[in-house]
Amino acid sequence: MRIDAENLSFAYPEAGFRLDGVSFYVESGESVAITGRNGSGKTTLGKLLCGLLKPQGGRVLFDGEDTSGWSLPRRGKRIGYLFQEPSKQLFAPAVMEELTFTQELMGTPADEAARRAYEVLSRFDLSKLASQGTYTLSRGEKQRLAICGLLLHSPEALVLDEPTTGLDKRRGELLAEAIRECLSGGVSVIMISHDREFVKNNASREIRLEDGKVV
Amino acid sequence: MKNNAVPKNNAQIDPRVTFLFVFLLSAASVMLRDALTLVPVLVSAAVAAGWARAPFGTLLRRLRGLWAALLAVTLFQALFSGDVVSGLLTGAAVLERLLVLMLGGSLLAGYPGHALVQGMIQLRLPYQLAYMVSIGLRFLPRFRESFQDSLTAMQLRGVDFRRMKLRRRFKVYAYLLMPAVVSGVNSARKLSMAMELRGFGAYPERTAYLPLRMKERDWLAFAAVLLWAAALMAGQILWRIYT
Repeated sequence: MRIDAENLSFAYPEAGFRLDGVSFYVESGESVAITGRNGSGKTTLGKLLCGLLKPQGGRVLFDGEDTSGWSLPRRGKRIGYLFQEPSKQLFAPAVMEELTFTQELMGTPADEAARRAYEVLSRFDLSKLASQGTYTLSRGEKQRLAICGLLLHSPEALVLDEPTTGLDKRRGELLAEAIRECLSGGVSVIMISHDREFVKNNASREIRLEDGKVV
Repeated sequence: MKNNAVPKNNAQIDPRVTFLFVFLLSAASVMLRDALTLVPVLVSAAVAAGWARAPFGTLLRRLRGLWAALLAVTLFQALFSGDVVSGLLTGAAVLERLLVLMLGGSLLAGYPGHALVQGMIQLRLPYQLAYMVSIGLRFLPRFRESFQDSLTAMQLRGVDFRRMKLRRRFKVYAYLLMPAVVSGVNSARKLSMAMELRGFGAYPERTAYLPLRMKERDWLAFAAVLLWAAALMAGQILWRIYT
C-alpha cells in the first residue's frame, strides 16, 4: 500500500512542541526509516499515520484515498502499528489468547485462529511460551508477541516504533527477516528507530526529523 | 516543635474527627434500610460535604461512567421488588446509600494523603489502609488508561466495537477488565517494592514532622458528630415507635 503524508501538523502546546508541515511518501513494498533525536516528533508522526492522533493540519492518504474520516478499526485493518511500549498493546492474559481472541472476534474459526497463531509464534521463536501468561514475559518477548499480533492480520503497511528495543541480535535478525518477507509481499514498512545498524540494513530510505520538521 | 502547618481540609477539621463522622455515616447508610430514614443521613452528609467544600463534584465527574450502572441498579431494584411504589423506594434507598458513601469518600478526599495517614497512625489504626486508599485513588486514572489502551490495541487490529452487538461488546469489555486490573496490581507491586527499598513504614521509633493536635474547633466538631449520631439514633427509635 502506498502511504502519502501531506503537510501533517500537530502541536502539544503545553510541551511547546509542534510537528510542522511534514510531507513524505512510502511506496508499496518500500521500507522507510524515520529517525531523529528524542522529542523530535517521530512517535507523534507514527501515531498520526495510524489514526491514533488526528492531524491538526494536513492529511494521510492510503493508496491515494484520504483517510481523514476513517475510524480506527478501518485504518487498523490496513495498517499495523507497533507501540513503543509493547505492554500497551497486549490485552489478553495468555500468549495464545493474545493472538486468537481478535481473530475469533472477527469470525475466524477457533482451530484456524489457533493454527495461524501457532505459526506466527514459531516464526518469532515464541511457540514454547504459547501457554504462558503475557505478564510474565520479558520486554523482548512482549515486543515479539506484539509484532506477531500485527502480522496475523496481514496488514498492507506497518509502522514499527522502536522495533528492536529489547531484542537480542538473533531476535533482531528474525524481525529483519519478517520485515523482508512483508516487503516482498508488497507491504510498506515505516520504522521509527534509533538503531542505526538496523535502519542501515533494513530501510531503503531515511527521513530525518528535527524539532518537528523534516531535515 | 511548634506546629503551624498541620494538614487539614478546607473546614480546618482534624482528619480523626472526619474519620469518625464518615465511619458513622457509612454505618448508618448500611444499617438503615428504607429510603425515608436514609434521608436525614444523606442530608447530613451533603451538608457536611458542602461545609467542608469536599471535592464531591470532582468525584462525580471521575465516576461518571458508573452513573449508568447506578441508575440501572436502581431501576432493577424498582422493577423486581414487588409493587412499583415499594420497588421505587427500594431503588431510591440504594441510590441514597451510594450517594452517602460517595459523599463520605469526598469528605476524606478533601485531605492531603499524608494527613489521612498521620490521622490513622495517631488513632493506632493500620496506616497501610490509608496508603492503600490514597494510592488506589491515584491508580484509577491508570486503570482507565490501561483499559483504553487495550481497546485501542484491539481497534488497531481491525475490531470495530460500534458494529458489535451490545451483548458481545460487554463480553469483550468484561474480558478486558482482568488485564487492566492485573496491570494495576503489577504497577502497585512495583511501587510497593520501590517504597520498601526507601525504608517506608511507620515504625514505633519514627517521629512525625507534622503531628495532628486536636484544637477547640476539632473538639467542637467531635461533639457535634456525637450529638448528630445520638439525634439520628433517637430519631430512628421514635420513628419506629410511631410508625
